[in-house]
Amino acid sequence: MPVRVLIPLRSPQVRAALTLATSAMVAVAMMAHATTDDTTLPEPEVIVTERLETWRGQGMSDALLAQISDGATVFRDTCAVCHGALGEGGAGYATPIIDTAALDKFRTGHRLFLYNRDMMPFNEPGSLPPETVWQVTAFLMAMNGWLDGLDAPLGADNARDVAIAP
Amino acid sequence: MTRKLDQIERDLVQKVKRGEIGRRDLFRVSAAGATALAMGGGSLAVTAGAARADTGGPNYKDMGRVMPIGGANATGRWFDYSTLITPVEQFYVRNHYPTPRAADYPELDPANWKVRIHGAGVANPIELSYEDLLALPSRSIFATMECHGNGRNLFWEQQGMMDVTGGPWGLGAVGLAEWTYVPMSVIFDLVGLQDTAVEALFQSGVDGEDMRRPMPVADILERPDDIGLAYMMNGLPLQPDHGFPVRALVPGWGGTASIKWLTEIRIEPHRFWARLNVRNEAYIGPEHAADTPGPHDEYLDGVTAADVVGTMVRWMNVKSTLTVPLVLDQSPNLPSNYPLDRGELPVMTAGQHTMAGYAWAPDGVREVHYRLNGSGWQRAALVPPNLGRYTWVRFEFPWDATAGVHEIETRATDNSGVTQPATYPFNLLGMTNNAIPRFRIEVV
Repeated sequence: MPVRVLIPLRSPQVRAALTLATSAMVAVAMMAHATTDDTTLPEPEVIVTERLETWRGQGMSDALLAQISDGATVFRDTCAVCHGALGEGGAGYATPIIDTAALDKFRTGHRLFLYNRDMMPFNEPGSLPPETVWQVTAFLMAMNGWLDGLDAPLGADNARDVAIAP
Repeated sequence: MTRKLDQIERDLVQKVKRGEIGRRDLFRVSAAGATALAMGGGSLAVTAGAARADTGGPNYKDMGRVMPIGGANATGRWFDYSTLITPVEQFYVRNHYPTPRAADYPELDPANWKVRIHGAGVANPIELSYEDLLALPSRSIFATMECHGNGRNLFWEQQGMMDVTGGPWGLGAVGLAEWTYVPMSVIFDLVGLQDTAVEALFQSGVDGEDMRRPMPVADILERPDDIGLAYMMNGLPLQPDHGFPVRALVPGWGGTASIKWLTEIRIEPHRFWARLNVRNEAYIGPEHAADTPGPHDEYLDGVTAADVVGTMVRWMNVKSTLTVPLVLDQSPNLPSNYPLDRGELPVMTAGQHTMAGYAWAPDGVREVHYRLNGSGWQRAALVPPNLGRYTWVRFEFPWDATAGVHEIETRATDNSGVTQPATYPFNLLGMTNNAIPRFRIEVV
């Protein structure tokens, strides 16, 4: 089983470095360290895991890391079919939603949550419980570098104050 | 590359239709007679209203999986229209963000809602509550509401203008409603409109922060009793998707001017340049001159003077449609729940049919013509009532359909004598294409 421990890559330098090419290299590097049981660890999970570890190293709380990690699973199972494994764009929706300006218009975590709650997943809006929507929203926010300084998990009580800051 | 993406898209659409990814509505299509069009594809499984009841959210969003949505959108099913007044449940929705609701935005609760009307262009700035607004003199009018992008598919399908960008609207981003509103004439009296006033900026303040659009005061003063602050649609309070509790109403202009979830009107002695009159909802193309900003204008939403390369869209134009789905062959994004597959023709049985349609224009419609397979134009019968300015009228004509593939065109003429053109000039954002639509039908 893939290790569900976490990572983040929040510094701009690290984010900038995360091109598809480098992610492939990271994947290969991680594969080299994998146990025989982990040889099938898929690349997106490697990337996410590495990011979560980075964020952990930067002092992110366990609760928020767990929420982001759960959100990564939700994204993989529900969103990646259209948006690509890491939000880089896919056959269903070509515009990248991670590391682009595509989500800037939502301005806050709360508005992005409302969008996800009311509009996604595309084929069946409303099918995910709010807790799950918060998880995937936290994942998107974190991957875009917008959860810096947040301690508690993203939720109704704090998301209005969490800015989407290009 | 295009071919490959095309194949991927087609495969995804097929998966959706087979229920492998998830199934939303498949439209049941009918023409004038319930049996006129024999379509594959199942029945309308979930109405928009039922979907909302199930999820507690608006969830009008039926345009298709591959369009750049970003907001609550639903096309009206023009191929299923039959009534003069469009029921709210069938009315198209074009929002740039998810529909804001009072549960998430308390300022939309009628108990809290306020609209502020202020700026250097008025003598007495005011703030009105919902109760205040309802106590003011009101009017009701019948008027179509139409998205600027309605008919955008015609650029791709009929004119081969593949550089046109925007959502793949067919001919369903239009409907007719009865709107109840407080006219701007009343508002202007309350605030004391100044002679120096140049533009009024209608602003939501609740919807996305760039949901604001200016309107020249001179344009309002041409018809201050027709433009206003609407709070009812078809005799009931506005639905959340349509701007509850209060929206602007600018009949005859594209829907963008009728800002929803309105909370502010700022009237100033200068012009405004914002996203909704510069980067979007504007004519940008070789046949459209660019606006010229003045030295004291105000810029919003990150827009600069250099961005002003077109002119804002104002009046809509004369259009018509049959209640038949368009064949979508060239559209970059085929709506996944469209009743026809890419390139597929609607099918009718041979025999005598009554073909039905709608024609509309800001000036009202005088007459409608149709022709079969490029032969001579014939006059269609208008179905009363024809309410004139700001409205549409239904029309019909008999057709003895014979086996084979046929093309029917419809052409409306408004009360000023303006007739739909054969083609419409290119503009980058695909605004207001009112070319004569061509409906291809296979008769078996």
